[in-house]
Amino acid sequence: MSHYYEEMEESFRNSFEPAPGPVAEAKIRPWEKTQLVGKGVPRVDGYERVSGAAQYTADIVLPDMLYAAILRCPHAHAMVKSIDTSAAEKMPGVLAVLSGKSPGADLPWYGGKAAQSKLFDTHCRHEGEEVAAVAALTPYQAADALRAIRVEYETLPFVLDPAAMQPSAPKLYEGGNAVGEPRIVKRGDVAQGFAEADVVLEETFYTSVQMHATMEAHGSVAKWDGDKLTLWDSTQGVYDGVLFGAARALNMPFNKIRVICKYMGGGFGAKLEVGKYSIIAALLARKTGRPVKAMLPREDTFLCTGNRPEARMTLKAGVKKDGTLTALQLTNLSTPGAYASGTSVGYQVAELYKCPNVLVSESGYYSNAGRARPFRAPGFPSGNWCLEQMMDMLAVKLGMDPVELRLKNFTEVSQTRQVPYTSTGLKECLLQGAKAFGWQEARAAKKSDGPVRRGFGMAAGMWSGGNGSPPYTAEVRLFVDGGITIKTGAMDIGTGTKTVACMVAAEELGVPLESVRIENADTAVTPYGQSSGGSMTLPGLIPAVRKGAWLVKQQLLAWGAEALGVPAEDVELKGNAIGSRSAPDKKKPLEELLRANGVMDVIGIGNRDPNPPKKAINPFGAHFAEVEVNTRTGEVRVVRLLGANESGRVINQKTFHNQVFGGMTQCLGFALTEKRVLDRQTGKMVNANLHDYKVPTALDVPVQHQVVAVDPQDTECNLVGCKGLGEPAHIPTASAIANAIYDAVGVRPTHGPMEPKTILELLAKKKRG
Amino acid sequence: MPSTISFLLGRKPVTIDFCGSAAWSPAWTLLQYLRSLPDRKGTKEGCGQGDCGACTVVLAEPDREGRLKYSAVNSCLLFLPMVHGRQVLTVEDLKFPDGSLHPVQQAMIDHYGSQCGFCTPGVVMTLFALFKQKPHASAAEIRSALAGNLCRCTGYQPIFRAAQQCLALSGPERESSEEGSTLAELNSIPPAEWEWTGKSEIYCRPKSLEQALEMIGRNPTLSPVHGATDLSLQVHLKHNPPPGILDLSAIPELRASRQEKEELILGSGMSLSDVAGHVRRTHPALEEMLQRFGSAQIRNVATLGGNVGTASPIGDALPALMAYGAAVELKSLAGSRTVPLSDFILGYRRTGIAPGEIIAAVRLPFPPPGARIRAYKVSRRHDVDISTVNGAFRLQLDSDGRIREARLVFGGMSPFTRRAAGAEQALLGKEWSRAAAEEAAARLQEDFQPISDVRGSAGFRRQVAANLLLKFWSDTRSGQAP
Repeated sequence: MSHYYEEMEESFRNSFEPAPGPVAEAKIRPWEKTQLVGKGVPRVDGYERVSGAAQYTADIVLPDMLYAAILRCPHAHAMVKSIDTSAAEKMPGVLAVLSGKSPGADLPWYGGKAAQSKLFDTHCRHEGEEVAAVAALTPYQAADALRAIRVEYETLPFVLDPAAMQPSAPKLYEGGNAVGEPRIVKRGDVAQGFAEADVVLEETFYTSVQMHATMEAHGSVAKWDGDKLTLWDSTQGVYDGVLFGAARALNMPFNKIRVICKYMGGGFGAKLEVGKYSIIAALLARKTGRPVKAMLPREDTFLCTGNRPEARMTLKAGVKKDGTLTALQLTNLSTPGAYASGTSVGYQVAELYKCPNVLVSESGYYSNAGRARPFRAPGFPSGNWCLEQMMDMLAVKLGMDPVELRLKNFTEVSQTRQVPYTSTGLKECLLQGAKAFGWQEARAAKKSDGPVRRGFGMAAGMWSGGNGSPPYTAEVRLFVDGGITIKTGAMDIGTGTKTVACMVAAEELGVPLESVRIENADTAVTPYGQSSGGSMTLPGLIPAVRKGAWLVKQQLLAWGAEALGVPAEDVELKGNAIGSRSAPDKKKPLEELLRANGVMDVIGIGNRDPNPPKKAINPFGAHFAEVEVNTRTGEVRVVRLLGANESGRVINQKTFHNQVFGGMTQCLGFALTEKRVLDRQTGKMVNANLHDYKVPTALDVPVQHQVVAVDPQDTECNLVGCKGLGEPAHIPTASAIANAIYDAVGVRPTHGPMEPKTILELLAKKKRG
Repeated sequence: MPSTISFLLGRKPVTIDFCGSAAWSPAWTLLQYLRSLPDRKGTKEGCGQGDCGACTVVLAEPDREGRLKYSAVNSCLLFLPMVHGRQVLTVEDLKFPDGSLHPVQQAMIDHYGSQCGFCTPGVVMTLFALFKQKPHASAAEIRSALAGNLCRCTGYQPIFRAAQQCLALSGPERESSEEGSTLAELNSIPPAEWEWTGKSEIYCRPKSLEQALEMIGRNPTLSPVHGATDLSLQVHLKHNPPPGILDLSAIPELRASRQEKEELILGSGMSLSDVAGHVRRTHPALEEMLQRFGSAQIRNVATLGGNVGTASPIGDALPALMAYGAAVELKSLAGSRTVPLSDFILGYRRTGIAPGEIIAAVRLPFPPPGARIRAYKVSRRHDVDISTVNGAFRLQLDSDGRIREARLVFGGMSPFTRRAAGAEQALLGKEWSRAAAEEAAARLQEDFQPISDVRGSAGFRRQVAANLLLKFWSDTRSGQAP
């Protein structure tokens, strides 16, 4: 359906050179000293979250509400020959059955303008594709009715791997299985670069398919009032994701659809677009005249809501004796599954280090498996996996310290765009991180020769997003009693947006945090905000919030100066009054001041300003790991992690730490335990549940986990000086763990995840020589 | 005949009569019941199969000393009648009447223990049970308690810190003035015994062993169940309910243990966490395996009888039980018999249980002095994971250091847990040396033909099984503690 994320990715990868903003904005200066910003503050919605009061989409219950269930294709590749719903329609409690033939259900889906499929397509290209749906009085009746639908399938041969590129392979599309043309990024001349190198290494790498495994399943509740539709949806974007997508699918005006998502149980990229379930709920609700809830069962979320695609990478690197990189050449072959989605991994290879000669070539093929979706820093943990293990290999070969090698190739100029970064904390992340970790001491210590070996590794990384850009609107409203309410359509998917927005408004207006309230993510009420993705909500929204608050302040100061007869610089907001700093007896109640100006509130509309021209804005980080490897069982225990991250100004220390802990832990799963397993015989996923798909538990995370927050004092990137953190905190962890494993046992786990089996095989291979 | 259960939901007494109710059936899970109530939406469904802990609630019931005992459980696995006579506490029950938060909730806020928040109510309930039951929990115990609560956002560190903060509180914060009256109310609920027949299912709930034997004697197709951690999945996930359910969870004698001269007798209905507490000193290898069995929430309801009766090829308690020479005590209307566990398990999920019999107890002999016993589990994730391979080993040495008796028991290597006859034979009469261990390990290749599946390949299983014997040797060779 929507190619939103890919388009967004495209927009921040291309240089964004906006026109200069209005003159008035020049007056908003960086804060010199802050009262609140930079401290560690608990969440403003903590009470709701810990008391069970927070209402998620899964918790919505409306009078007369029906429950939807979706019938899915059990085959990896099949044509639906016929569907007989007559028995299901007669089942107790069943009020509606929907299939591709139902009115309004013949909708194009996937692949943007050149749609590749339909809401219910007779050509099912992977296990779990939607075939029909029912609405019934209870979820159990709906599930029973699904089993009464008779579907005749013609099963087709399927393909899961690069064999899809062979001419004889089963075809997903008439035009063949290639996903477009290879994507090439080229700089300089790699042949010359390799010729200049003293050392050239080449290695193949592989990363497996990782699943988002959000704690709340995907789902939607739809309710019609006449021609108006309300959708409560578990989404990362009420506007770009659900509203625009649903309006397009249902051919409705934007203001006739209201999308609400106040609390959302995890997205990580899997909830960026309108789901088929949302539209199915809306169609069933229209058909029955009753509200309909469609929450996906856990298994369906594994089959049909996205994944991080696999990557088959070959990286060749040339380096001089002193560690200077001369050339990097990457090829990547991947599959987005059955429908188009981004699979690129090469950005860091072309950008992270100073390197004059780069060639990246990436291609993809369609396969009969669930479709890829953006997953926390799409492509970056995989690209980092090959680049940062290669850097480690080069360091070993050169006899150079891995931190030193990275410092040697540090750059303050964006390599792909050839413009300077507004700030780059990579050097400080490497230095401060190594110091806090005790890197040199740890690497110098003598290794045990027992069956359990200890090792230390590190990796650096960066993120192509994290800059934020227009459009975002924040409405900041001051009540006559001095209270503030912020309204924004931006999401808080758990990342802490609401808390930092309140902190920034409080800082700007000089009021206590308790005076600020925020309401968000309701398209009928709150102004536009982008989807939460790309680590762009903070740097996108927060400058807009500051600007809205600043505008409120300017208005107050102007009116106050007039009313008190003092200069505007002398006016301050004090509770529910304004007063003069120099003459404390001069003050006026806010209500009096506002009424005198014909209003009962002051509203500042903060629009996000453009980013500075000819500058790159990116966040950076360096992660360090200590592991124990059991050479008898192949088990790896990560005993210590340290994340040093630079994402501009730290607004809330607690939020910052939390993002780094969580981002690194998700990447620890990517490193050690997480992978989708497809059965070669049937093409079906065999671990579509939270037991066989291994998300790290409290016992898998390290006992010691440290965070180093590097603040580069960036005054250029935006009005607040902040960059995004959620994704950069996730990127280099797996590579750091892999490098630590090499340090421990001298084998390089180039294929992830690094399961006990993989480690044992590598050790056996090494022993055989 | 009324089919009634009574329990406390928070502070409110609740009685449900399944006969009079069109809404509930006894095979409903506690989670389904809670989620159907307007004011209990805090308890979340994450997976519906006991893997994520989002649905964690706390059950309180009188313990042997007459105090309230609090256990965190997965409400998605528990059949509703199993809460009879207990207090069910959900996240909504923790805050004080004035709306102020419980110390565990406050600690979660202070340490930013919540991001998306969907797992948070379950985490809060796990911490609440810890706060009540184990105020001096170590850092390792805190992590172990939380291993059954998946969190995809926070990386757990903020939750560990929240746990430490709330557990550091002592004194009045920990006491609740209502506990006395709760105890009195729970004690006033009489045991309930009934048989319920629905459209296609039967649910029997005896309160005594005699009654249970009578029911299953009359209807041998009943499936006996204690904690329902396995059967519940069959009913709700696979939509394949058995013809009838015999709920043994209300029978006090099955939940009791006693010690005789040469053995411990563990009631089949004792929870695994209860068993772990009983065998800590006498059977440490079993205790260690039990600590890695499922999650804390699972261990609080799953039972030894259930694990033995299910006879899964990778049942985590089975190798250690066999290594200790455990026997199964079976009862029926015809009488009772005792069968060694290694003879009881006959095949893939198949045992020697006769129609009309139930597993009443597991008899666990005390190991003789000097026996070298260890149990190991290899899985892809440390906890809350099914074993790829598990093993338990026991050696008895003569005074001259030669091996007199060897028991090498493996799970995950064949369709059912069993001893490695060839490898055992190879050890007899030998000194316990690396060479002996290697020779036994080589013999394993004939003892087992493992399969490849999602948890590991056949080759990996062979390699790990062999290596576990080497690990056993290095853990128990002379000079090491026996």
